[in-house]
Amino acid sequence: MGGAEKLMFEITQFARQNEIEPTLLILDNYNKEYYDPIFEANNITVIRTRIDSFKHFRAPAKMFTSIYWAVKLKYFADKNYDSIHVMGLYNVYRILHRIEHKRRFFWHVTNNAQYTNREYNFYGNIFDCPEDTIVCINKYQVNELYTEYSNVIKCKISLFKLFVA
Amino acid sequence: MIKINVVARIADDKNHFLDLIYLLHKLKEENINNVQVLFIGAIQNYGIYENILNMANLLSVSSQISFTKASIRINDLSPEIKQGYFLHFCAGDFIGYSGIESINDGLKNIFYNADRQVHLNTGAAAHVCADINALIEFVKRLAKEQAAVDQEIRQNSIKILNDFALTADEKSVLLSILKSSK
Repeated sequence: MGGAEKLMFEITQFARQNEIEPTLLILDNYNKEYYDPIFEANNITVIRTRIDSFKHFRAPAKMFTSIYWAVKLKYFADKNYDSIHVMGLYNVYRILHRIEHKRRFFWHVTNNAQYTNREYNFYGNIFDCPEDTIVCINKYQVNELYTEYSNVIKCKISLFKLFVA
Repeated sequence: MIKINVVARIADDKNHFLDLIYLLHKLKEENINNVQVLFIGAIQNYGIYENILNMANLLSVSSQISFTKASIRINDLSPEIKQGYFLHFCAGDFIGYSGIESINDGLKNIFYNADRQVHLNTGAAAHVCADINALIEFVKRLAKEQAAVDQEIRQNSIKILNDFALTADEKSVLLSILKSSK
């Protein structure tokens, strides 16, 4: 597994150990990956769908699944889920205005050394909401974010170590 | 022979490969020629690949490097390769899941801070080679006293595994992140 998938796996493992039932949402990619059966074997529900565009007339089942999840996550996520977690700040834009929830956590899984000129290329608006929390997994990321986005950060920034559940 | 394996796609987000060529060059200057580096991973950026070859050629260490040119799962590597040392690029003293998996697979691991903007206090992060000079010194020691260094690597591995375990307080924090108190 790649690092982000592994972190997701450990979070879901920890959740299961604590009687939380996670649902794993994979957006914009209908192809099953090698890790799908690993999650399924651990009783993690895996949903592959799109929530940004519903036009899928040649595959009505997929279209209705998209509509179902888009509505559920936009209007009823607070009622159905304790918290929302996004792996990778580079993915946050996909859900920013499509999954409404008071407890959203965006896990930061890269360092700026992996980016051209050591500059992240995240959209500035992912830092807009004071109720959101960005969870860094190493201390360097915290400095990197405040250095590059100090003018726009309104959300909380926290640090939680990588772990094995 | 000391065999160092680098598991990483040849790509620009992991581009610290020339450090290994420099390492071989510095070792060669001290007459340490029994070190081989194997790059395990697909070649996604041929410009970087060509640079590695050219620099190795310039520094006369071409015969000491090789490439699998494809990503290979650790479990599918030959026993001979698995007996080598697996070098992991780190940002500072941060070790990612690849390091943990490599430890759990029973491999010998070297952790190397490849980020030149992060200056490590070696006392606080003894399990990570703080910079290229520390890496060179580490491999030089390995060439001289392999059994003792292997023992250090094993001890480091135990410490790293322990660092990844959650304490009771950390479990409580994580639970509060996942679960609403309502």
